[in-house]
Amino acid sequence: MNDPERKINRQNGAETETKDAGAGIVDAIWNLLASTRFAVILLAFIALTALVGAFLPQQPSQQLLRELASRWGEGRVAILNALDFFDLYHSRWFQGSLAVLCISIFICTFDRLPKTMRLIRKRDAVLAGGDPERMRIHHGFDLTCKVDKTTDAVRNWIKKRSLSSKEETRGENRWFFINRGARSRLAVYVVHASIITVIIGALIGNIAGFRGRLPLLEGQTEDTFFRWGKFGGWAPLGFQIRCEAFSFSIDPETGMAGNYESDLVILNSGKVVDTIKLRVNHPYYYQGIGFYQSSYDLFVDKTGEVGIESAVVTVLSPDGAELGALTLPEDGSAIEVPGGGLMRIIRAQVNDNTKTITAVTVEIDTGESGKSVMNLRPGQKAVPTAISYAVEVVARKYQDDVEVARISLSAGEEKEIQQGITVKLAAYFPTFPVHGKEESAARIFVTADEEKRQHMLFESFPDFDKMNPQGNLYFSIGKVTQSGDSTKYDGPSYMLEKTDGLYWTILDVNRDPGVPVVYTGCALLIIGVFSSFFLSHRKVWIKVSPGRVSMGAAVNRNRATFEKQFQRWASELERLLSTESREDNDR
Amino acid sequence: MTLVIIQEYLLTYTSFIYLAATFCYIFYLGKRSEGVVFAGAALGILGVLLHTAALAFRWMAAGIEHPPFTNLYESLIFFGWGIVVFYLYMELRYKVKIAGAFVFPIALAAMGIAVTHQKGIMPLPDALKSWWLHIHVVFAAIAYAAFVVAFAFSLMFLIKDRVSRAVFGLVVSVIVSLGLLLLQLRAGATHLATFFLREAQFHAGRWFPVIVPGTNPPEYHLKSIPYAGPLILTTVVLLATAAMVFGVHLMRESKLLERLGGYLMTLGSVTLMAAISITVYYAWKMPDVKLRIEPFLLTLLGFLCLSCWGVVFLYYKGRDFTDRLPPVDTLDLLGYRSVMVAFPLMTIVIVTGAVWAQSAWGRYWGWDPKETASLVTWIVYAVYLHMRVVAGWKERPSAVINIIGFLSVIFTYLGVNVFLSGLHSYAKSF
Repeated sequence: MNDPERKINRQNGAETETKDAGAGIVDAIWNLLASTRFAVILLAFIALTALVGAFLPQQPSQQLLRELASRWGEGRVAILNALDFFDLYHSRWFQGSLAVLCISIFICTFDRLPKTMRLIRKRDAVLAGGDPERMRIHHGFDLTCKVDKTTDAVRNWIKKRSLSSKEETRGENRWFFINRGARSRLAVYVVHASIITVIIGALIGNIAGFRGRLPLLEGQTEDTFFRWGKFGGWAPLGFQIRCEAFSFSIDPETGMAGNYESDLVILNSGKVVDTIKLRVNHPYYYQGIGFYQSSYDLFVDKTGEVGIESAVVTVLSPDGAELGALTLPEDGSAIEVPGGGLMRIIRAQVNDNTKTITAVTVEIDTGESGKSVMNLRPGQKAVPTAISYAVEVVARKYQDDVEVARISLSAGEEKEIQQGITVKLAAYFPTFPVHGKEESAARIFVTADEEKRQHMLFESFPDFDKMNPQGNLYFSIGKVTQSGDSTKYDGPSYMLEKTDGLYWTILDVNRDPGVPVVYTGCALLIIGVFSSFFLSHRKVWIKVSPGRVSMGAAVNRNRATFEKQFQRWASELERLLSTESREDNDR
Repeated sequence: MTLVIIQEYLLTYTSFIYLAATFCYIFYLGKRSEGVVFAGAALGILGVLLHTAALAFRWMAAGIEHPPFTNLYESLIFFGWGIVVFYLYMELRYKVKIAGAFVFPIALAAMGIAVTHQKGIMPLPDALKSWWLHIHVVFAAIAYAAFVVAFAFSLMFLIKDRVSRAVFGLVVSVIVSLGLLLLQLRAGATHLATFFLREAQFHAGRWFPVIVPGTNPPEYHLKSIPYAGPLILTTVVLLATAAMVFGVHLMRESKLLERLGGYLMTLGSVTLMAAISITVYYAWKMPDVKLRIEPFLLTLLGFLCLSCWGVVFLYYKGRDFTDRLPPVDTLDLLGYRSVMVAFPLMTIVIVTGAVWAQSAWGRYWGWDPKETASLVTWIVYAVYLHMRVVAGWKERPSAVINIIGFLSVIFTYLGVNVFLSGLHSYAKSF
């Protein structure tokens, strides 16, 4: 790149052009696009805009946009949006500047390649100036030997060194010209071509490829995926894919999900084609479509219920001996427990970072000592408290906080508070963890106008449900009354043995026919960059004249390294020739 | 396990050796003494040997499948290693000793952050089990190291090229006062007003969080550090005034203003240093405090402080050592040589990163902040290379671009992890 010869050519070219007016504009644009100054400014512009894109959220959701508008001001966000700053890398003007870059590279190549080719083809054995020793890198020594004899010796040395050379006789002088690495002058063009190749590959991917996402519930079979982008929506895969199971491990130190994998089955018209374990970093391809393990999530239904696949509970006698294990039905129906009574799952508690179930909240109805709710955790014994609670639920108008109704409910009970509005107490939690504190909380389901929705109520925050009003009502806890006696209970206690949630495995589904082109471009880029930095065009002239051998050399880059090599060659040749001439004289 | 302990000890010793080497080289800036600079180079070589041993031990401890550059801690160690090795190579090959004073502090900063965040060997998550990734990270550390050395040469070039010290003063005081404001905003104050009102915002949130005892995973709360806030505020005011004074001086020459700017700059450097010392002291001394500093913020703060002192040094000692710098041509060439090593490696870094991304996420390029930042860095150096072909842009302007490139490298390496979130969040795991 640091090539003075080319620079001079360029400047001369710019001065001699631009004659008549019509062609003047074309030439001016041509020269502008071909000039290195323009390339520098264009590259700086692309870098700057790319950087801006890294700081602004790209393809933000409508919600985030509204949030930004409230933070930065409507007007500013509208302007940024109109200028496509929120989808900068796909904006016309960013892609336009990449197109200009490509055009500039093309024009630059047209402009300079012929000159470079001329430099490469130029192989005049006789140096224009006539004296190699006037060059920057040179060496010379006197010899008493005859020209012919010396010429043979030089020719042999060149052969021995396996250098190729051109020979010419001019007057009584014999010239040798060693031309090495002339083609390295093309490396810069390789770099430029590789960048265009990469951009073309990206374009192919954009036009002919697609990206999408496929969430698969454990056990589910799917034949469509969700395609992103302009032609987005559910699109057919052309075959079916089923998720048999999903599993992952938690890194004990960081507490984050480590390795995860899905067991998948590929089906074509009902027949099993392939069975695979899809892991992060190990994509799977079928019919040109790539599947990548992207992420996962717990299944949560419309009412906010977390999907539990299984929950096994160990039953312990009051003195700690193991009595047996129970498998709780995941649909929330009750089963009989050894101590007498019924147990059912109310909800699962979830660690939001790892999406694992940390505890299962169950309700136990022991008959005579009443219903109680407890959290079952692995390794922690839970004793039913034998206390039941009656919770007063208060309904208020959202607009003016006027009380509409007040009813008392026990767990699982459902009552009508108004015409067409019923409230069901799903569960009451005397110690519900919120930000490290324990709060008295209740979960209710309100059915109004055929719509059933969940509400979470906290005794100490009566306004909490105002964020989530249903119709024009919001709810709060009025009073909680306890009944029963915890000391009376002498039945078994319980411990969670294991639980597993019902998971979505989330797969990325892609097809990108541009990848081979991009990879070719990348390979060319690396080859080009390395050869343009580490290879050089080295030229050596050797002039054998009566009584003296003169050597001169020129190189287009890495002069220091080449100079050393040249000096090595020169002294080797000098040693060789002077020995030979001494032998000659001795004879 | 014992191997890891040996490795941690070795790294601590290495850091102290680099510290000693840094002192040698900085001493050499002020006073020509061949003995001192020889000691610096010797310490550097000794440090590299221990450093290499430490890396080897870590690799041996983790197993062949798990090379020692899979998180930010390991990558910083490797980065520090790269800087010192590349610099010593350049020093021995081109006999330019004085650059050590510019290069070693950066290596030391990398090591300092790493050593205060020693981390055991963690099992590799699936996403990181790829040889493409290992090649990617190794070349990234070496490329960044070479860019750091290139930066040092370009900075020396600008000093040698007789760029007026008032220009350095203006640029540095503007950058430092803006940088402090940025850190301040980042640290928690959302409005400038609160910055001026609240005492000791300097401590804030993500800088020196204090672990709440008995929490696992650790939760942090904020601890206020006395005097730090007002001192930072004073620094900003002093430096902003200095910038104005330098600006006026550059428009109309005035010896008085130039001297005044120098004084303001010195005062600002002292207050900044005091603020940092107090913060570090308190963070260290407070009960139940585990020093936990975000690497990028500390690096940035360190650089701000260092550049202030650099300008002060240039002010009072500049004439002496400017004469001793190698000729401009040499510095220009060495800067170019370093970029010539770094740029091809950076190309490999981007390409291997793309191949890895394709195999892990199904797309070779996704305009993720880290990808974008590395592309920006690559383009900045492409600009540098093209500028060297244009007459008139070859020397000073290209040296300035080289320095911008360095800022871009630091941003790509550490800044993205702190300021922007993306897929490279593995690198965050300290």
